[in-house]
Amino acid sequence: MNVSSTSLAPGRVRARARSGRRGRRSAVLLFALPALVLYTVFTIGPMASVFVVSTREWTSIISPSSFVGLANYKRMLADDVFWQACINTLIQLAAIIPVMLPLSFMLAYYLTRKPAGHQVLRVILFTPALISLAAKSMIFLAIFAPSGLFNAVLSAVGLADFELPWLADPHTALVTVIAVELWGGIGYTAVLFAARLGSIDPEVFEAAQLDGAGHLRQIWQIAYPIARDYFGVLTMLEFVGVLFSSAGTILLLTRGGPGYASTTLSYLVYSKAFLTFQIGYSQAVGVVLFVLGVLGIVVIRRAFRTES
Amino acid sequence: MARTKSRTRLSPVSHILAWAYGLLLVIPLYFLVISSFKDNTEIFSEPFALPRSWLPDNFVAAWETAVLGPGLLNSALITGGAELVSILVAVPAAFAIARSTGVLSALTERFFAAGLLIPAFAALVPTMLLAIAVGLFQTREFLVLFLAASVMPLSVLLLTQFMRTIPPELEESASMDGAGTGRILMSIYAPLTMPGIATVLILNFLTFWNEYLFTLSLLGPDVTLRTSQVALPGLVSQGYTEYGILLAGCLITMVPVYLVYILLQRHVEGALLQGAIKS
Amino acid sequence: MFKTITPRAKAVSVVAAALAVTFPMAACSSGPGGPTGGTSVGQTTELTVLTASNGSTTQDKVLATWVDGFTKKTGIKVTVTNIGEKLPQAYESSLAGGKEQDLLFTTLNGKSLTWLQNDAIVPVTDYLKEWGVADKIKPDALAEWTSADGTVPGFPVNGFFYPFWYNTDLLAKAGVTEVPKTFDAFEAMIGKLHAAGIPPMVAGGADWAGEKLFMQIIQSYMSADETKQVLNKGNYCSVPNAMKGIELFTRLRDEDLFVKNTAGYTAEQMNTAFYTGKAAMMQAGSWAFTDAPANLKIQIGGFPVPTDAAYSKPTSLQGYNSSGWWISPNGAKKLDAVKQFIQAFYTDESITAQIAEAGQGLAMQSSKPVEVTNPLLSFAVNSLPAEVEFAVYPDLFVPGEKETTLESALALVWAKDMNASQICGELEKVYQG
Repeated sequence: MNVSSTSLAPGRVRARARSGRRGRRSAVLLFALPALVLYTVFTIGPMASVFVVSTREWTSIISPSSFVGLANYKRMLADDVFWQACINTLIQLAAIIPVMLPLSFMLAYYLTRKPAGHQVLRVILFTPALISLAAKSMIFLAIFAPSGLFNAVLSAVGLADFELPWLADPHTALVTVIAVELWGGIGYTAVLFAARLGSIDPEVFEAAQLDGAGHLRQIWQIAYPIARDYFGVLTMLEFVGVLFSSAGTILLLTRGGPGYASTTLSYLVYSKAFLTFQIGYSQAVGVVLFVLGVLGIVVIRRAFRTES
Repeated sequence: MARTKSRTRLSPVSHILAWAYGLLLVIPLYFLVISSFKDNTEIFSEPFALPRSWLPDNFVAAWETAVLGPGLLNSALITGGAELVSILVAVPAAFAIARSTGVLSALTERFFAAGLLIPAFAALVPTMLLAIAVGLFQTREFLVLFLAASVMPLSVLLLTQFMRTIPPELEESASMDGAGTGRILMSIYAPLTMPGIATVLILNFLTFWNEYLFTLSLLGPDVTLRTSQVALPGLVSQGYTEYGILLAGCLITMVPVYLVYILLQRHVEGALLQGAIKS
Repeated sequence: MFKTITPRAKAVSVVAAALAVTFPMAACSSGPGGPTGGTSVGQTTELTVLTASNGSTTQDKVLATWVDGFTKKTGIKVTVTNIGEKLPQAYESSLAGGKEQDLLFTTLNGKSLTWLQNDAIVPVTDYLKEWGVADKIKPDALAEWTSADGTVPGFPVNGFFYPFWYNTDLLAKAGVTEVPKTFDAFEAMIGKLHAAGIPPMVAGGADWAGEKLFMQIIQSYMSADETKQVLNKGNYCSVPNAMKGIELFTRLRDEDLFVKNTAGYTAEQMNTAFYTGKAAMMQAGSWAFTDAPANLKIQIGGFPVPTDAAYSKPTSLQGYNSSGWWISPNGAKKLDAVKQFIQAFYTDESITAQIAEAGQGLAMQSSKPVEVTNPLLSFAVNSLPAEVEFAVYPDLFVPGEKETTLESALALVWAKDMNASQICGELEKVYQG
C-alpha cells in the first residue's frame, strides 16, 4: 500500500536501482529546464522590481519616477491605514484558514465515498470558481444590498431589526467579505482535496470500517495521514491566496470601505498603485506581503513536515 | 461477515450538510441566470423573482455591444495556447522534482514556490517593459507565454504532489525492462497522475479564461485582439450600467468554462492507481 | 541543510538569471508603434478612437452614424473602440508601449486630470482658435476645462445637470402640493412624508452618488471660492462655514431624511428605488432622464438652503466635464486628419444631432437654437437655471488621487453615530494619506 515516497523494494533491487537512479538523478532535473526557463524569464524581473520600485516615488506608469530611499517604508510604518490593513489581513487569515481547510477536507472525504448524487455535487461545488469575479461581485452586491436577499430572509424570519447595510457598515464590511471568500473557497478546495483522496484505495477505508472506525475517525486518522503532504500544500496555497488575492473581491464589493474597514494588505497594494497613484508606496506594502508570505510558508512547511 | 461495498452509508447529517452547502452555492447561480433576462429596475426591485419575460434580448445586446464573437475566439486561442504550453512544461518539471532528491531538487521546488509570493500586478510593469523590449507588445503570442509562466508555481507544486504518490516499484520494474526516463514519464507517471493533470488543466483554464488585468494591458483594447473578459467590462460605463446585459455577457463567457469542467471532471476522480498496482 | 551546489546546476542558474535580467534591462526603448494604417505625417487616412462608453448608449449610436458619414465625405477611416470605465488603464498601458489610439472620448476627472502634466495627451489650447471651434463651445464649459495656467487639455463635448428629482405623485399622497422652495418647507415635507409612511430620500451612500449629495449640502454656507479651496486642500474642520454645512447635513440625516440603510445603496440601486416608488426624492444626473419610467411624475429642482446660507435660491449642480475629445501623441502625428475630424464634429449639423437625438453635447453650442425632445432635459436646459443657483461640482477640485479614497470615507457619514467633527476628521484624513 502506497503511503509515502520511500521505497520498500527488497535488497537486491534496491542496490541496482539506486545506482541507476543516481545516474539518472541529475539528468531527470533537466526535464524541469523548459519550465524553469519560462518561469524565470517572467519572474525575475517582477520580483526584483517589487523591491526596486518600493524605493521610488512613482505616480503612474507613464510618469517619471525618482529615487527616495526608504521614504515609502517610513511613511508606511507611520500610516494608520497600513496598520489597520495588517489587522484586517490577520483577521482574514485567522477566520479563513482554520475554517476552510478542515471543512473542505471533510467534504472531500464525503465526495470520495461516492454517495448518491456526488457527480452533481462535484459540479455544484466548483461553480463559484467558474463564475468570473465581475459576475460574482454583482451577485453579492445584490444579495447584501439594503433591499437584497439576505435582508429579505432576515425579515422573513422575524429578524428585521438586524437588517443592515452589510457591505457599507464599518462593523460588518470585513466579515461580509470574508463570508463571500469562505462561500466560494470551501467547495473549490473540497474538489482539490477530492482529486487527491480519490487515489486512495477504498479497501483501506473498508478495512478500517470493519474494525469499527466511524467516519470521523476515518477522515482524521486514516485519510489525513495519507494525504498530509498534500494538505500542507493546499494550506500553503490557501494562505498565499488569502494574503495576495483578496484585492479583486474587495475592490468590487466594498472598495476597502467604508473608510478603511475592509482594507487588507492585498487591497492596499492595489489601491495605492491604481487608485491613489502611489506606486512606490504600493510596492513597499508588496514587500511586506512578500515577507509575510515567506514567513507563513516556512511555518506551514515546518508544521506539515513528514518525519522521514 | 457480509462484504460491504465501497458505497458505505454515511450519516444523514452529512448528507444534509453537504447538500445545504450545495444549495448555498446554487442560489447565487440562480440569481445570475434569472438576472440576465431582466433590466436594471427588475433586477434591483425583485432580485429573486423569476423574470417577467424570457426573451434573449440581453444576450443579443451583450453579444453585439461587447463584440463577443471575436472576443470568445481570442479567449479560446489564448487559453488553448497557454494550456498547451503550461502543461507541456509543467508535467516534466513535476516529474523531475518528484523523482529526484537532494539539494537541487528541493531548491527547485522552493524556487517555484517563491513565485506564489509575487503580488499579481507587481509583474505588470516589468512584463510590459519586457514585451515592448522584444517587440511583442500587444501580441497574443506574448500573452500566451506570459500566462503559461504565471501558473508555473501552482501547476508544478500540485503536480509534484501527485507525482510523488506513484510507488517507485513501478519505475524500477520499468527501468529494469529497459525503459528510458522519457518513456517512464509518458507511459507510467503521466497516465497515473491523470487526476492531478486534469485538476491542473481545469484550474489553469479558469485562470487563463478569466484573466483580465494582464490581458488588457498586454493585448490592448483593440477589438480584433481582445478577449471576451476584456470586452465584458466595456459594458460598464461611468454613469450607468445595464446589469442585465452585463450578466448575460458573463453567462455567455461562462458556458465554455462549464463545458470544459464537465469534460475534465471525470478524470479528476480517476481510480487508475489502484488498477495499476494490482496489475 | 544547504550543501554545495553541483557545477552543472550553477551553470544552468547563471544562464537563466542572465537571460532574465538582460531582457528588462533592454527595455528602455519604446518602439515607434502606431495603430494600423500609415503613419507618415500628412498622408494618413485612418484614425483610431477610444471611448469610455459601453457602446450601447444613444450617443454611441449617434456617433457611429456620424462617423460613417464622416468617412464617406473625407475618405478617412475611423475605428471606434468602446472600452468602458477602464479607459484610463487601457490608454496608459497602450501609451507606455507607444501604441495608443489617436483620439479619446472621455471625462475630465480622476486619472485624466494628471494627463496634462504627464504629457500623456497633447493640449488643444492653440487648436481651439486655429481650427475655428472655439465659438462652438459654451464659455462656461471652456472655463471648466481650462487649467490655472490657461492650458486646455481637450475639446469639451458633454455637459450635464445634477438636480434633485421629486416624485410629485408621492408628495401629493403625503399632502405636499408643491416642490419645496424654502428650507422650512423642505423640513415640513419630510415630516409629512413620514406621516404618510413614505421614505423621503434615497441616497447612493455606497459610491460616488452619495459623495455628490453630501458635497452639495455641505457647501450651503460657503462661497464658491471657499468651497473650491476646501475641496482641494481638505481643511474641512478648520473652515467654520464648512463645519456649518456638515452640521446641516447631520441635522437632515438625523431627521431621517434618508431611507433606512441608505449607506448601502449603489447609484443604480438608488435609481431603481426611486423609479419603483420606494422613495420620494433622489439626486441624480441628467444622463438618467431617458431611463426614467414614462409613467413616473417627476419634477426636477434644487435643494432649498436655509435663509442664512450663502445662496439665495435652492442649489443644484451642473458640469461640463462629462466627456470631451482628447488628442494623444499618436494623434498629434496625424494632425491634418484630426483637424478635419474635430471641425466636422463641431459643425451645426453634428451638434444638433448630438443634442436633439442623443440628449447630450450640452457643452457645445450651435448658431441656431436646438430643440430638446426629452421633457426633463428640456426643463433642465430652459427653466432650471432660473430657479436655482449652481453650486460647485466637486470633480474638478478634489485632487485626482484622493477621489476614490474620498468616496470610500464618505460611506461612513450616513450612520447616525457620526457627528460633524468625526465626519470632518475622516475627511481630513483622506487628504493626509
